[in-house]
Amino acid sequence: MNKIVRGVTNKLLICHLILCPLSAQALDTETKEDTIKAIYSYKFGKFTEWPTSKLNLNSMGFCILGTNPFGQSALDAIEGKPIKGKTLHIKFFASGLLSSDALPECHILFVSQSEKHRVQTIIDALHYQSILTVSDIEGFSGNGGMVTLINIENQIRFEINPDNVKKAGLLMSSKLLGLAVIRHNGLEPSP
Amino acid sequence: MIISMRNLSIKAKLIVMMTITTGISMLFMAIIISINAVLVKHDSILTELSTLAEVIGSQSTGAIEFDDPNTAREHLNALSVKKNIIYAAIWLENGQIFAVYVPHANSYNGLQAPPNMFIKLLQQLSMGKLADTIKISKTIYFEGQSIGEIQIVSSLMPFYLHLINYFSRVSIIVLTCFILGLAVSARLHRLISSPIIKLNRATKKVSKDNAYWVRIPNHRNDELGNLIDSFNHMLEQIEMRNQQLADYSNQLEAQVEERTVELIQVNERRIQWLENMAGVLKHELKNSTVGIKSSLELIERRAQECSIDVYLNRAKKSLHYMAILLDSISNASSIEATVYKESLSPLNLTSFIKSQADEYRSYYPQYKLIDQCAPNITILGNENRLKQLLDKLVSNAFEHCYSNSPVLINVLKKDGWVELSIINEGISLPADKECIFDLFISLRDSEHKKSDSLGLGLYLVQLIAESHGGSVKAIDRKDKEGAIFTVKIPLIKKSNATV
Repeated sequence: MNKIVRGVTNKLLICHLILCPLSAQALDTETKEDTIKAIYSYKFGKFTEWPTSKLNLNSMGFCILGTNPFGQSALDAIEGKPIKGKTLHIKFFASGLLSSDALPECHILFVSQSEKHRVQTIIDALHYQSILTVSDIEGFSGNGGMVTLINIENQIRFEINPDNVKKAGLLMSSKLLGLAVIRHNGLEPSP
Repeated sequence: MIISMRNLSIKAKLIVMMTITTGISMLFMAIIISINAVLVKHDSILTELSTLAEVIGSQSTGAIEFDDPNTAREHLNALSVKKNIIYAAIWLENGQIFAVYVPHANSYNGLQAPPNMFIKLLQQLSMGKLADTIKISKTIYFEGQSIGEIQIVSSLMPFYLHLINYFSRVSIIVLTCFILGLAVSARLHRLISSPIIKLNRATKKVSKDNAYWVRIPNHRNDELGNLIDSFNHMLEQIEMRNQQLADYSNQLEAQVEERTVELIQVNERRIQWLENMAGVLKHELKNSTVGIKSSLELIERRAQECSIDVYLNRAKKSLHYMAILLDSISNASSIEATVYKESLSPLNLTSFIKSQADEYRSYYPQYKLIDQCAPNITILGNENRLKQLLDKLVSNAFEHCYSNSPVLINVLKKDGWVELSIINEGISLPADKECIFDLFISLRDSEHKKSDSLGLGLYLVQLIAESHGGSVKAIDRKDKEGAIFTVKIPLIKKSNATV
């Protein structure tokens, strides 16, 4: 019995040794992508202007709604970074638990893939508050969101809906808009 | 240059001065304007490139932040409208190149390249501050943080071409202004040179021809106008004075002539009167003398009394004295009447004196006579009259000298004159010796006896000395008792020596 267990264990170890580099490489790619997404989400904030009423706190809130898609290194890359002269703090909210009390502390809201089916609810809950909404959920900016991160040929690009940005009382820099795929409500996205 | 300009005419001087001043001013202005133009143009290029770098860098912040080199490149490609930009690039903060712009054709709009020599000259003058290209680097900031750097390199060839065009225009303008200035100065110099030239001409005419009637027309009220007025006034004054002098001169000449005629007439009348008077007096006295003489002879023959002899002798003696008086008056009036009319001829005074001295020594062996004559003394003189003069002075010296004392005849030259001195040792001159040469004055006693001289001798000496253009004076000896009679006669002039 022990021999059988030992043999299976060895086979698994060999299998692990063979397969491990592949899974590590995949892990690295994924890690890099989530870091880029985190950094991009942070940088969107740099090119966005909030109403002054939204900037009366000492810090800027980067809120993640749903399952955290970012690794620790991605979070470390943006935690405490300056934005609009304030420090960025990351806040986590469980799926569907975005309370109205927490909304004033959020300046950037990253909607995780786990909230894919509740996008409309979330958008409605935000009720056009001055919060920059970012997500990698496909069609997010076409469904009331503002910025959608898209992976195009292993390059992270983004789609922006300026109508929704405007509705939320935000101003987005043309420098950012010039880099993005623009998507207006009711229209096909244009590069 | 200033020294070489000194001999130019005032007209040329003014033109040269105005030309040089204008030329230097224009050149200096052109240099300053050109330097300013170079600096302004260079600064404008720098500013333009700097602005472009700022704008493109700012535009590219999003591209850098979101790692979008294509967009950054598009931004850089906007520089293609600037043909002078030959290179542009954006670097990331880590030194990695992010986007590059290189124009397709590395030419500056197909313009002709400026001459190398001009470029080198400008680069040398700028002490290396100007090169073939100009490079601007700007750090790209976003949210107060440096996120990269943009660099733009521009060719300066269009700048040099612009400068060539600019310098050409400036040169043409400067040259035109210079020629205009020259043309204007060629007219304007007359404002100053014309009156000075007129003054110069008038001065030359006045100094050459004594044309004091010359006047310079004046229509100005400046300093030169005042100068011309003063010059005209001065000429007027000189002319007036000249006229006055001429008038005075003519008047004086007329007066002198009139006076001379009067004097000649008076003198002739006086001489005539003297001659007549002497003749009449002689004739009348002679007649009287004859009467007296014949009467005396009759008395002498008829009366044999001794007492009458005394009176007869006295009358004879008076008769004799009267005869002497008559001769002397006749002689004196004759000399006075003729002495100024007698001609003078060159006479060797040295030989004459020596000859006369020898004669005196032979006639008067009882006196000691010494003669000291400077050699070769020639005067214009009348030998007979001079003999009379010397006879009188020597006999006078003998008459008044102590026995055995010498009489000295001394002749010497002094300042164009001959001084003939007769010096004796004996009776001093009287106190009123100033009158010694007057007519009928005899002041000295001879050997303590009253002289029977009529006082004509020294008067004749003075007359003869003056007729020779000279004078005579008498002084006491200072070393001992005695007198010195000195006659001064002018030496013969060279022009008369051959007469």
